[in-house]
Amino acid sequence: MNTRNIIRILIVIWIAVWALFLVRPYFKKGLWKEYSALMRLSLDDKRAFVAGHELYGFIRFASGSIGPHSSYKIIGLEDDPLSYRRAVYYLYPNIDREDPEFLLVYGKAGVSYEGYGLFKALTDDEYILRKI
Amino acid sequence: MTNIIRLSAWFIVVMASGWSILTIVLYRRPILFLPEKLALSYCVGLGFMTIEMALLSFFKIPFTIAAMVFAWLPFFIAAMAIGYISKGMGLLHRKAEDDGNRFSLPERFFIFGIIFEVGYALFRALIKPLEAYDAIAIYALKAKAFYLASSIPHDFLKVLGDPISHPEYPLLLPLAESSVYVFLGYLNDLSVKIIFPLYYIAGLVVLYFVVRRFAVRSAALLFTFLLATIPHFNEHATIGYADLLLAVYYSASFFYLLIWIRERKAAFLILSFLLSALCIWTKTEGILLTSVNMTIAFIYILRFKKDDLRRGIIYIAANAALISVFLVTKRLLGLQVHGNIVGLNLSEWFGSMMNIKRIPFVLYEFQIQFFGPKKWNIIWIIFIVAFLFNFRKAFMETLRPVTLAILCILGAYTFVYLIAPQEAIEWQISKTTGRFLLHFLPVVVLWLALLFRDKDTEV
Repeated sequence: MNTRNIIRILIVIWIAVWALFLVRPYFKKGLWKEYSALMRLSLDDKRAFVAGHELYGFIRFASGSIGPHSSYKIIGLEDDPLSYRRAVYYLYPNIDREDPEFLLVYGKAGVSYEGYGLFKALTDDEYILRKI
Repeated sequence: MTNIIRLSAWFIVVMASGWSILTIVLYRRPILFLPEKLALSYCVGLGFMTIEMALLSFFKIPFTIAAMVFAWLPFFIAAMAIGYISKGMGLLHRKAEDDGNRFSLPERFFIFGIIFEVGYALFRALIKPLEAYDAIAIYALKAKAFYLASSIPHDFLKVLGDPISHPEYPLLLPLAESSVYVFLGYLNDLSVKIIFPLYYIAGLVVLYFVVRRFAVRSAALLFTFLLATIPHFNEHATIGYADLLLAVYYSASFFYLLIWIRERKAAFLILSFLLSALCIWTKTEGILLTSVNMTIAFIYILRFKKDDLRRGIIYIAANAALISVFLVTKRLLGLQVHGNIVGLNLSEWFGSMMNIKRIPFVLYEFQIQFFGPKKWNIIWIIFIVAFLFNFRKAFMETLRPVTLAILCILGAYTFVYLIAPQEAIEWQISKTTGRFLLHFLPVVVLWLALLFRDKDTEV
């Protein structure tokens, strides 16, 4: 078999693999639904879509409540580093600190910390504690 | 609509800055084709705009459109003067025999494939705001802080909060994102993603014109198509990581070093140096990749004479100086991070070299990547088989520097895994191997193009 034929065969295999992995996520992961939903959304709704509506709603609630340049710590995202990083990003210029003014509690009901009292609540398990 | 106009203004300023710099440093030496110069103008322009922003911060001048444009005025004027003196833009107009031919059916298919992938990358980038882990944790947070402060605050690591991800990383990407926000006038983490597909397009254009110097048009289109359709390369044009930027800067810097080795026109070496500098400014791995360029240059200049030898020595010395300045600056700023090999002292280096037991993990991960068509199609399989069947040829003539560069990088990254002081290195290896391979992927595609150019690549 000459080189030209080998190249042709490789190109055919290449195109087949290309097409397969191009199309597969649309069926396997339902990309159609995701993209068609995203196309209709505003920028802020897109952020909510990627971060999760519940978490993003809580972030908006928290940033609106504590005001800019406050220090905070998030309780409840310890096992979800990606959501935690997104929250830190969206909450900036509020700053994540070890000894914060606010504790932002997400997804945990009845959390209490010494020296902190309830400041504002969005739901039973989404609320803000403030240093007393 | 205002968004598009402001984003276009950002793009024009970036392109004009890059064009001016290239026109000045290449001074009337026509070594680039027009689309190639435009592609490089974007990469060089954005890279130098971020350096300009770092300087503005140093002199406590806030980031404003006026400040960012005004700083380039002398460069615009100088470039226009050079254009006037040269009675042209100093472009390469070499026409190959097959340039005027009609496109064959396979060529049309490759062009369709490339255009489709470019469109798809633009779509995927601009449908979602920044959201991937590193994109947010390492780059976007810093970009947001810089934009809101209109500067790089001298204590920016403190204002970002306690758990900072990779504070020691170079600032090209965060500053590039901030530059978009400055032009938009607000923080838009969706529009800012235009940065990435534009690098993707630039990388494809540069590869096409570099391959075109060595091979026929259909081969150049074929290998550009291959690069464009590698899923991992395309994906990185959409997710907001700095790895694609590094891949484009490094590959282009190596390509022009290779052409200099072949043609010995000093302008190629200057271009390679500029792009190497931007590698260092993009990611820490840029130091390693620039060192590979220096190694390749060193191997070749040993047999060069007089002017070429002198130029090669200056190239190596200038790169070494840049790396030293970068490392010293990081040390002065206290940006040495636990787990980073750059921060190791000599005894730690030797102590870490005993991590031989990691080799199976590294080889296993390489194997997963090489035989993973979901990320790479069959590019690595083709490369490995072609390398084994053309072992002697791989170390002959034009292929030799490319082969040496690929082997150097593979060896260097393996070595980094062996000496890295992290304890959970298996996790680290599994997370980073794909990105490391991406950094020199266009060089691998060029290697294949050079190998097959002597064979009959008309398809």
